[in-house]
Amino acid sequence: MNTQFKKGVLDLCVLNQLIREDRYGYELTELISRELEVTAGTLYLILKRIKDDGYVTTYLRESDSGPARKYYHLTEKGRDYLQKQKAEWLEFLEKAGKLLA
Amino acid sequence: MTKQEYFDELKRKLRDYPEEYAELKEAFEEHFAEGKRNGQSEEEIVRELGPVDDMIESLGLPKHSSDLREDFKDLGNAFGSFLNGLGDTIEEGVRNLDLDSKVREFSERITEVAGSAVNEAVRPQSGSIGAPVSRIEVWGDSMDLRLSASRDDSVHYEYTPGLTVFVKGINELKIENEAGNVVFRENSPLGMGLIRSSSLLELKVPEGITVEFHSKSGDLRAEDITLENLAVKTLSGDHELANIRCASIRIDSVSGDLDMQKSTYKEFRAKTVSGDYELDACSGNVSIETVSGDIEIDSLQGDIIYLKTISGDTAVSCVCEQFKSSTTSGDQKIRFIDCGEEALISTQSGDVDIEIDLADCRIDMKALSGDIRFPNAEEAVRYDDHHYQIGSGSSRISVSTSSGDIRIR
Repeated sequence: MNTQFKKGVLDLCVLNQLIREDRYGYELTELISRELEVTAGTLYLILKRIKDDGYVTTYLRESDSGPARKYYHLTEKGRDYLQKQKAEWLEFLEKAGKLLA
Repeated sequence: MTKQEYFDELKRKLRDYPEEYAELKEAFEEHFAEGKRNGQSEEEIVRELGPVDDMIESLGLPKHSSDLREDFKDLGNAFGSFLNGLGDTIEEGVRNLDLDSKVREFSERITEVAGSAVNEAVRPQSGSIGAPVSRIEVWGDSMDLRLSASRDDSVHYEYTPGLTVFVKGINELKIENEAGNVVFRENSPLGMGLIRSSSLLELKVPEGITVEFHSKSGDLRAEDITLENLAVKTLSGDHELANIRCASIRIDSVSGDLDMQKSTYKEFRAKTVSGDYELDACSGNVSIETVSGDIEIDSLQGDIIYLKTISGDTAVSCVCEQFKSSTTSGDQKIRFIDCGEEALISTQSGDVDIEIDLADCRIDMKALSGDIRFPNAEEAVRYDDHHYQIGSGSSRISVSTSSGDIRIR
């Protein structure tokens, strides 16, 4: 997929994975890269950015099988942002889909 | 790449941003740990993380100057090798091009295409004009003129038009005859073109007529003819005259050279700026004025000989009654002079070198600052340093210079 195109929607894709539950970095990179060709490095940068923007917070939680994991939690601000942006994106995709059909 | 190498590169490239580095390192350490737990190798995880450069670029941080320098160095190297390659390519291209043959090919092609077109359009002209003809005028820009004797009373002409390429129009000869006054006029097309060859007008003229030639760059060649008068006005045309018998010859040119041999005339008058004049075995009165043109006269016989030049050099051997030669900076060399009455030789800064072979002459010399040398002075009667007499002193030689040296042999 085109990089420019990807950039706009990647933030939303990451945020969307956090709607139902908090997740840790590796888990997120697995989820995303299963569907999209994105390097893990880039995803960590996105995580850093959405954290800096206040859309997510992080906290450490002990894991059963190893060292503590950093979990990402969607904030209210992140949720609002996601809802709004997602609606726009979906609408855009729907229209684009019609045109491309 | 190992995990350690990856972190080393990351650390180096983020050395201006330790906070970002620490944050990313923490996240990546965890990622490596998780990956390992899932059975991934270090290399695999590094590949998943992607190139450090990509990440730094996504961070949108200004690059460290030394990295920029490296980038520029890379860019410079690339550009340098590009230029080198370009140079080689051009050199090779030129070598392969073989310009000489290309130029030759090109000019041959032009000759072929344009030349044939022009050749078809231009026709030589020839004919005769019956007597009486008393005067001929020839006008042209670059047309050359060749004069020779007619075997009868008529004027015979042969005109070969010059070929001009890339100019609209053709060379054409127009002839007018009004009561024996014949005008040959070449009309040349206007414009800057390639002149492949000059036009040529060959005239065979009867004895005793007057010929005038007006031209810019046309050359004149005249041989074995007897004329009343010959007048030539050209800018750069050169003139070759041989065996001409003529009452008067008058030549005006800017840079044209003159070569006249074995000709007889009452009067020869010439003015030129830079043309060089050479007269050999001619007889008659001569008047030549030049600015920078050289004058060389051999075996000239005449009553009055007058030479004047600014910076041209003169070299003369002559027999005459009156001789006058002056230069400003030109040197004068009198190889031989037999002067019945008087010879006046003057110059400002030129040197004068005279060989005298006279039984009777009087020599007066004036040199303001130049040296006077008269090695054979003992043969002469010496009045003082400047005045000598040989024999009865019936002819007189005066030499005057400002700073030029005088040498008499």
